[in-house]
Amino acid sequence: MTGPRTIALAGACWMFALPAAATILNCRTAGQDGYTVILSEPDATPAAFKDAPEMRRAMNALQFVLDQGRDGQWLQPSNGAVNFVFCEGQRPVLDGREFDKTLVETLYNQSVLIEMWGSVDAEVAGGVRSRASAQINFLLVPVRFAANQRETALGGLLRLTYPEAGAPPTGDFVELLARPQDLDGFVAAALGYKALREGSFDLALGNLCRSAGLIARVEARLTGGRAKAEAAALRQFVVEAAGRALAAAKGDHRFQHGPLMLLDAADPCRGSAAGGGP
Amino acid sequence: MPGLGGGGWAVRRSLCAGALSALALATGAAPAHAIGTAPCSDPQVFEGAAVNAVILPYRFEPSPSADFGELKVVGDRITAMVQLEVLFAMLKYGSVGTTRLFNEDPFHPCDPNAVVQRVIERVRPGNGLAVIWGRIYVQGDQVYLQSYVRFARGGAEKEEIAVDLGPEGRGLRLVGRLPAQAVPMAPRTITRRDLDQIQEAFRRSIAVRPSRDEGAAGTPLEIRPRDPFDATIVDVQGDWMKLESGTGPSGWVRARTDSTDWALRRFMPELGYFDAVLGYLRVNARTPLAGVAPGTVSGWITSQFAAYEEAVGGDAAPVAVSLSRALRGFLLWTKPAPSREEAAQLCADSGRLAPHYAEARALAAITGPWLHASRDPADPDTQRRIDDGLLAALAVDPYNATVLDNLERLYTFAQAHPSPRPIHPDLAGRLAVVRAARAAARQ
Repeated sequence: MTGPRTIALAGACWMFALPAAATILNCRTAGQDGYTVILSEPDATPAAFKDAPEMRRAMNALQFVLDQGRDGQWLQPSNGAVNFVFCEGQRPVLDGREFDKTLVETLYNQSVLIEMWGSVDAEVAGGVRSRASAQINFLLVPVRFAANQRETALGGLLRLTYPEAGAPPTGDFVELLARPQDLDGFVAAALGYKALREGSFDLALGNLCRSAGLIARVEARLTGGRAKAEAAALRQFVVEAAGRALAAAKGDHRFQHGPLMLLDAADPCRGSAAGGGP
Repeated sequence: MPGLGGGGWAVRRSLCAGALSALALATGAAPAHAIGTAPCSDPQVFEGAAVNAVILPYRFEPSPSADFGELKVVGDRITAMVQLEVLFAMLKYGSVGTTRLFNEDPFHPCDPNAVVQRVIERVRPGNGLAVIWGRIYVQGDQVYLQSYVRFARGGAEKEEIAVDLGPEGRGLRLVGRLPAQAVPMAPRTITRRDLDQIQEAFRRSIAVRPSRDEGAAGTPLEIRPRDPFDATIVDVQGDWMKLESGTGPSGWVRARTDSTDWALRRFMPELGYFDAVLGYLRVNARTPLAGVAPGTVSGWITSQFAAYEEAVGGDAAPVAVSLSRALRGFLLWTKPAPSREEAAQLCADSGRLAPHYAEARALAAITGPWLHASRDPADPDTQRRIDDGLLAALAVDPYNATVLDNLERLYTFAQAHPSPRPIHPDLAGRLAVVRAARAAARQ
């Protein structure tokens, strides 16, 4: 995919001075190694950000904060570099209709794991922003790609609302949205599912089970409603995918005398299926 | 506040062209303290110190709102202030050294792997090394920064605990290791105005005085980020230390251990976390503690970790908090009058916070019997609970050496003590798989 791809959307312009269009750009840098998580511009009310430059400053800061794995090679052996990219100018519409089969296939082939976009709002009193809120979509590209191939029923889209119940109010969007471990869980799910499709069953199992544990924590934090149900469905999907990875490994001569043989495909992650960690 | 060590010892070090050129420790078991700077290409530590802290330069990421020169100044100032704060905090442990590294080429950041590999060989077996580094993103007046902490022990000694179930020698010995020895800390925000104020606070509070009297007129200890920090600690009396500087004032400085007043730590609570890691390394170092009781150091460690958690919350840095719980668990597990139940609870917390780390899950699994009624290794229920936990750990990292090691120990014990309700009907086959996997990993 080259250059911007624009989809006109009637009635989508409720934000500051930006065109009435949802724009998808090719934000994956050519020659970049590893996997990518793409952070798009949110739809923003004037109370959230007074103008586009202010919003972009906040998104750049959010990218820095979310990109905690930047020094991962100095912390522990990793699956490969995961790059966070703030895609300036990219603004998917909230329901993500732009992510059609063709675009998702392109993203999948470019090793994009997650697309993040959403909407933000706030209250302003005395010129000071307070009570920031957001609705953020996480699209797990490999899962959506598999759904498009009719391999799975789950669409790979999770929508989370911030702040969560009980969280202290803040006017700082970076503070509001910085949940690195949530992203770790989604990245591991996306990477694990991609590895499963590509026959790397040990890599798939490890990532899917890591993801199951982390998504269980997200699920436990949510108090109910659609988001909790989506998180539960994603965790269940991830555990089932881990079971498929394990079953496939047991039938694959590369793994038949290895430690994967110790695990049970009916309960591959041992405990995460029940929604809890150890 | 304990004394920092009496007289009878001295540290001499001269700085030459920004590198540590010499360190002579007086003979005897008394504690030593030293501070220095060195280039990243030739990192140095103090071989005689029980614990070394190395501060790597905070590197900056490109920003549209600040030019290269400004970014470098911010990074250098933070690094220099971190070293001072770390030094004054760690003096209470005794026998410590701190080195600040600087970049000769700002376009090639200091590589923590290379630094640790080079300096760990100079750390005496059993003594500790901790490294802190970070990255910075500047946007207008806002400075976003994230620190990373990593530690190791000289002589390639591992941080581990022996978990014995049943009578020693005839029971089941399992081995617990830490979830990680390198962790990202929660990102923080600070303004450039805050940095100015902190630097001013340092100037006011860290003054070099002619005598050990806070009423005596003092000369501020200047922070010159772009210059090597040129100071030698030649004596310590109580919480006062005597500096000799080649470029600045010489005299006595009060090293406060009541760190709550220190402005930088208010904005960077990870410095308290780093201090606690240094304390953990110190209390277990081969060079014994002098002048301070292990229980006192453990108290400092606990309070510093708790302060960090309170400052950032458990969700912002779950792996760091998982590690801190495990470190506290290790301390309790190994202390003379062990509190195994409390330690096991901390290890369980560690596993819950980092379910994606195999060692964290394994540690929770093997210490789990202290949270249950039975600790009898021959009890099939006990074996099954441990086995479940270890297999959950194996699922997140199928080739993890710690997990495979413990599975081999468990299956070997279970095979030697047959039960009417065996945990697996094909125990011999599973044991063969585990042994083959371990052998393959060693090749």
